[in-house]
Amino acid sequence: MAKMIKLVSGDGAEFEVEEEVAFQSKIIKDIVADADDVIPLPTVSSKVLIQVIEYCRKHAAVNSFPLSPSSSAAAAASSSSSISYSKPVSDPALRAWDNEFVKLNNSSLFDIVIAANYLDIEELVDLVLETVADRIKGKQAQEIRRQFNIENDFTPEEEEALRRENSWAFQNN
Amino acid sequence: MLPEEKVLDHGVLRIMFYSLDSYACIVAHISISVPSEHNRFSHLRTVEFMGTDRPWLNLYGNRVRPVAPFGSFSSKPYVDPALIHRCLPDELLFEVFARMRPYTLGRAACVCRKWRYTVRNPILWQNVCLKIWQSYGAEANYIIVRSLYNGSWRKMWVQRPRIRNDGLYVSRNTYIRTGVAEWKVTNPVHVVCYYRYLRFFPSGKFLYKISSQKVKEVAKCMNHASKAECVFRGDYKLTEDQVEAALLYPGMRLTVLTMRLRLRGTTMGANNRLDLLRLVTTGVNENEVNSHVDGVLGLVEGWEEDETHDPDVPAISHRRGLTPFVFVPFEEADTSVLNLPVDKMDYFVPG
Repeated sequence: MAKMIKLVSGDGAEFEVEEEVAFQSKIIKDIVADADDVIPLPTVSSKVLIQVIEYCRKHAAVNSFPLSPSSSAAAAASSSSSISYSKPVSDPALRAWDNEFVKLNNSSLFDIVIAANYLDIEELVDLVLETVADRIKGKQAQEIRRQFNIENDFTPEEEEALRRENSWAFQNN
Repeated sequence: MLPEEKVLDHGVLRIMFYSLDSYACIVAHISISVPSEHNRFSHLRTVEFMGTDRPWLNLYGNRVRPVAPFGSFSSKPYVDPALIHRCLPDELLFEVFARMRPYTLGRAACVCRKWRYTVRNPILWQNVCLKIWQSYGAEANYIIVRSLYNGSWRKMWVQRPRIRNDGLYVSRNTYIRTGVAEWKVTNPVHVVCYYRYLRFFPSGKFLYKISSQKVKEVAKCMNHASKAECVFRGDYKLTEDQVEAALLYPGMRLTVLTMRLRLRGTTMGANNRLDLLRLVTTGVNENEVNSHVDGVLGLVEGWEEDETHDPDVPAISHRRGLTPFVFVPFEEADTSVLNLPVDKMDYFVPG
């Protein structure tokens, strides 16, 4: 009988998960090591927690080993270290499942990545960020703004200057 | 505003403004040197203002969001309409950018101020630079960026010539040959169109194909794994803006094809044109090939234009079919104008 961990979401709902599923999250792994089986997660809503658990369940079967620690995103923003990526998912069936999993609107994706970041589930963070990057790829600036509802706070002169400065990115012939 | 004029004895007209507006108080002292002959007329107020200082002009063009005075009931905190900015902390936004290709980064900089700021992070550009110029080695790249580009990786990315690896360089050549006279067509000519394709990899390898097939068909088979016929592999070296490339044709008579190309672009940083300076096919002998570990480039290094090491295969420097290569990114392979048949476009001016 696998050991069960109890996760309590922000709105009070309780979820029991197998240990190896919960241990996809490094944070939970560390907390449990200090002998605590009930883990409150006040910042994570039930809806998001269900999705995260679903992801962890699927990936726990594949990953028997814990993931290598990633340098935290904050360290990556400083000039000393470079960007780190988790190892890519090699199993095509799993990758297909992942692609289905991230077919969500932007708002849900952001909720998941924030929760995954909080729980330190490297692969899930990477997956969602890659998806967001893919949604930006290939689009012109105006389309990107429309997709993410971003306000254009440039003056026309600034926009023109930027367009000239980055003309290499637009010009393809 | 009530201007007050005061003429000083040495011919300097001092004009002072005092604003009566209680919300803004602008006091400007403007000293204009007035030629002495005009002093007599100053009482007539005919002296024009020669220079004017209008500080409010600096506000034009800036989108100044009207802010209610402190303590007023109408002041609202500014709420960014973009969900992505409200939800994602800056580090995660940066991580998204870290997963974008450099061309996407360039476009992302034009979206909004926050993104422009994030795109300027040197780590992003350092990574793409080290990747694309990896054949030089990390250390050489560090030295170059410091000495030539002021330490700015972004500047180096835009200004330093680089071979692009996100598409194909395509040279579209046409020639005319006479055809066979038929019923009523007495002097037929055909316009024949063929392409040279080059695909470069940052590791120093490249692929070459010469074919009459269009860009959209060839784009799919120009990769290492392809077992397609007539896709040849070779080595290349980029020195500043000159490319030396060489490949060995397999077969009975060992022939080496060498190309010398010059990299340029239609705009700074585009790197979308390769001029073909020299194309030579020449013979090599088998022993050389087996003993040379440096790859094909090392094999033919320093050879004269007419040098051949196999008497059966003369060295030929080709003079035809040397149209400059135009870069076509993979996304545009299907829609590129270079796909057009000769009846729609007989010659593409590379510019």
